[in-house]
Amino acid sequence: MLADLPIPEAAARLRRGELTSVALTGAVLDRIAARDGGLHAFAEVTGEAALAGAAAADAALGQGRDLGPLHGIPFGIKQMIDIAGRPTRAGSRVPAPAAAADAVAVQRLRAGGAVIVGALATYEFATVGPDEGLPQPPACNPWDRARITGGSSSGSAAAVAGGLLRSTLGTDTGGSVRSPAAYCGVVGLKPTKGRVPLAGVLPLAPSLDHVGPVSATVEEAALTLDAVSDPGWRPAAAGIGQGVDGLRIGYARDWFARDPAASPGVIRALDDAASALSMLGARIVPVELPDYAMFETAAALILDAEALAAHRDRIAAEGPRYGGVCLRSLLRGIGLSEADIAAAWEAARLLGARFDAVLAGADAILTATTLAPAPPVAAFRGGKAVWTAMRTLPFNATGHPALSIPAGFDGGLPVGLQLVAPRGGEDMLCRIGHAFERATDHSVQRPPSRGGEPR
Amino acid sequence: MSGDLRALVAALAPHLPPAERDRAVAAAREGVEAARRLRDWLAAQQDRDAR
Repeated sequence: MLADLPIPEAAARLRRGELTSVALTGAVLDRIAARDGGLHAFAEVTGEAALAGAAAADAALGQGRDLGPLHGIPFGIKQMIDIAGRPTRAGSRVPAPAAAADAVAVQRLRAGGAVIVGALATYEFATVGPDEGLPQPPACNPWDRARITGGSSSGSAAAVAGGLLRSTLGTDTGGSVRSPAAYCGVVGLKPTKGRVPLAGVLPLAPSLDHVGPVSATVEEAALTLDAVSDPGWRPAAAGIGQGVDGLRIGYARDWFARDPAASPGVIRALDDAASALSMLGARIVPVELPDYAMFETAAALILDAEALAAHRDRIAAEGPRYGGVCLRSLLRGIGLSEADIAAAWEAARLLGARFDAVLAGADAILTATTLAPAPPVAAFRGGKAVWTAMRTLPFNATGHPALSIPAGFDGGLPVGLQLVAPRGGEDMLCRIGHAFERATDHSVQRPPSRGGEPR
Repeated sequence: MSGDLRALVAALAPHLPPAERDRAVAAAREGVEAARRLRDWLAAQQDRDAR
């Protein structure tokens, strides 16, 4: 099936003249039409514009203008990121004007020949969810539609896991690329702070916001990230195929396994992952990371304060249009003082320095992404606040790059492992992630809702 | 502090029905408590580093 072609294979066929972007984009649009009614991954499909973009991509290739590895490849964009001429509704009832221009990240995808097929669902304003009280139903987890996708890049993860797209752009302020990737069994890469411009992205917490890919494989995530990165960063794709022989990977087992919320299945999957990496030639060394609870608290306070500041005027003007789940989340920061936020940053810096000291002795750190598989949607009904334990938020404050990749299954649901590297080390993350992906079969498993079609 | 939080929530989101307002105030109170715990922890770290 054309829609299932990995990006490098589709790119090769496009260049050999065996495939056109119009045919590929048409196949993706057909797939969306066939499956998205049950997934709700898309907030908006821009089929006509996509086919026009695909025709332009074909014409460019025909004229010998090759714009790079994403030339002619269909992409989806989380509806927090501006697509010119379309309203960036952010999953909300709050009115949004049509965006005057593409976000810089979208401009770069288009400059690389990518074809934008539409806007992907998000938890409202990239906060928390799911909220079944909003007009658009929450995106469904393709592994079990009664389970949450995680968020806030819910549509990105559902689209990739559901076989609608190979790669997408999401945003990550506290784990919003990585946790849905883990819950849906796909790849999520939060880059180093500052690597991908935020211009044209609706802010949630500007100090913590990142744009990153949610993709079917590590290589596709790397290609996507490289297309949207500022110049001067080491390409993430440079790590692909390098293997892990001789690398030193710090295994932060206690950081998640001692938490009572950690599922035995997640602990087992991470232990198995450490063994697999060891078998591939990496040296796995146990490491102790700084106090997780305080690390998370510091970053969460920063997030709460900045998110409320970003939304205060809009709440005053449009409060009744906000969904209850989002509004409650935004109001959490209302009692915080400037001194509280200064202390939170001081703590984040202190803990970040301790984390750097551990990382100095390793090429990367291995830990869990989420501590359990996706919980049921029903657990969130009635406005109940459900804590979904994860290990993602600190790296939004410290700025380290972090990659979540499929690490196996717990009770038939996917779980993810997380790799963290020094700033600018996305190539190392992709090197380890790709080697692990190749050595295991976790990434080629298919959700039951996709039938027998290959991923 | 709880009364202050209730007033702050009511001022910014006057449309919230009482039950929703209670939830928002409870969430805000959790935030304030978390900030207090963090400041205590930070002070203890700084004391330890100073010794």
